[in-house]
Amino acid sequence: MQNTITISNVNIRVIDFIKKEIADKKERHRKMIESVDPQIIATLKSMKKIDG
Amino acid sequence: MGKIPSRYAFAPINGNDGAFLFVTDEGCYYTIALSPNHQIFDGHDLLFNNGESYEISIDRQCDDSKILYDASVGYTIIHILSTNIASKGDTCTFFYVCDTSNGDGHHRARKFNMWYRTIKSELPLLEKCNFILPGYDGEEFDISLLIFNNHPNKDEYIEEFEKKLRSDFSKG
Repeated sequence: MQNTITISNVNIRVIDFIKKEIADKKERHRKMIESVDPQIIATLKSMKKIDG
Repeated sequence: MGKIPSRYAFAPINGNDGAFLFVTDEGCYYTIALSPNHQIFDGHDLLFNNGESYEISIDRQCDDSKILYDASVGYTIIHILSTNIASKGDTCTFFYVCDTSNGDGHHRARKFNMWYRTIKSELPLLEKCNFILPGYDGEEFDISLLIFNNHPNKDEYIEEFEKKLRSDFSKG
């Protein structure tokens, strides 16, 4: 099952909140990468991807 | 589970439960997170779902000139999402807000839908509801809710989620 519901007359605060969420999320992800041990990143980079 | 194999090696991100990182051949960094107990559900018992409501977020950090089509990215994301959704169990719920910051929200929504269809082939009880919210400057926001068909409060949950979007997302 997959429904699509279009919500009209959305409260402006809902939109502002979602926009802030999207911006905050990008920042959270940026910090996640910064927190990773460089050795782990080096290991991930060195591993070959598996061809399908 | 895990019929869709990961193409890239990935690693959990320490200190961020439910977050994973992989790096592509082009040097792009992808982070995928399933974050529990999102603040938007504070004070709302049904949507809080006993702390088993998760926000799915996916981000890429990359030099724009390096972005080439790479099918392995999708397979890796699908693998991470399907194995983690399956491991959390069918009483959990998941939502995904498409990033519209570069005006490409609908494209992301279509891509997420394709991933969902593949995940559903492994988790047939997983259902998806789509919500489209018009913004005030012409843009639209796509929000997806994933919920298992056998969730004990499925219909009420979907109804409350919609009500939450109609009322005030920023309050409990």
